Amino acid sequence: MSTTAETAPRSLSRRRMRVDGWRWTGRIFLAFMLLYTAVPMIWMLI
Amino acid sequence: MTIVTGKAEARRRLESGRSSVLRQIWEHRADYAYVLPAIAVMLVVIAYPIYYTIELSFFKTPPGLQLRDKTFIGFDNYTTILTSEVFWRVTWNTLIWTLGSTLIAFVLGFATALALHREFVGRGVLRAILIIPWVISAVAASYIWKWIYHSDFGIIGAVLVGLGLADRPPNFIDSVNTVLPSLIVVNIWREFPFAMIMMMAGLQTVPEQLLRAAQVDGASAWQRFWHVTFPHLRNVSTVTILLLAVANFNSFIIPWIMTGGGPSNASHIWITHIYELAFGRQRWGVASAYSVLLFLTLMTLGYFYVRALSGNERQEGSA
Repeated sequence: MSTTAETAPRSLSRRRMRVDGWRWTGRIFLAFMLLYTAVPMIWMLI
Repeated sequence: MTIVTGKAEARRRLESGRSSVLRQIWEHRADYAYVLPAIAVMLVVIAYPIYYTIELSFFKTPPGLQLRDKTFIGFDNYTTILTSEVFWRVTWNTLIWTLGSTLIAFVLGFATALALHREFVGRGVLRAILIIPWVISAVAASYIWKWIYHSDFGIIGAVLVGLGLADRPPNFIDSVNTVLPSLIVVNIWREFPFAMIMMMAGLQTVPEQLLRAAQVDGASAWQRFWHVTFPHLRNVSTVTILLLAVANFNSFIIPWIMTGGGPSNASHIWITHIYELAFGRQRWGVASAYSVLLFLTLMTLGYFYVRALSGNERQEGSA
């Protein structure tokens, strides 16, 4: 009984970590795209 | 006897078919009268230039002579083009330019649309900023990037030298090896927002219940994307890729303004080469033959585009 109770939260936290990985990948990618898009425009303004 | 009967039957069917077409035209004469002015204008501004270009492609038009002095040479212009080394170089450039720009712009646009699909603070502002390159003119974009790539005053060269990655600023658009990739980067910068908008619209159509059901069944984020989201976006992806491919094939402003096809034809694509042949060297016949080849290629792409669109309509109709 205690084994089941222990494994459930562990698998949940593992899944949450995996979801966070995708989220962070998305954030880093968006930051890169923002840089790629904005730098030429900022350069134009300067 | 059987053959004669078959022929007679076929003739009778053809005649009845013709008469039914004529009858239908006569029955819809008012409708045809309404569209007649539009058809007349299209004939003048679209059909006649196409006809004249095809006609001109069979003539030799030496520079310095008037067009009325052209001489008929049959398929010689086509033979000249297909046997010239420049043609294959330009075709290779066009392929790299079109495939590279289309595929990378699509992948970046798709990935950005997926990343922006989730709710977060500042999503609207980010979306607006990312769309700007698509909105500004290609001429302005070309001049901006020309300065960015500049070997003396460009930001990329300065950053590379500052970071110690290069001894001196590289010549991005003056080198035969780097010019085409550099132009593709500019083209992708301008076109990925289009793919992003298309894919964002497509993502709205993916049923949320299916994604939730897959999540409940234990599907990972990648499995949900591959087995639920992506199949729903297959048609919109096809249309986006085809539209990007046609736009890139016809792309003129960026390569022409940034390099004019140089150095040593390294950044010439079909459309800039045609322009140079026609308006630079006044070789109208050869340029027309090139245009005919370009036209046929684009018609092929257009055929697949129409097929993809009608496939979409059929699917929507059956759904």
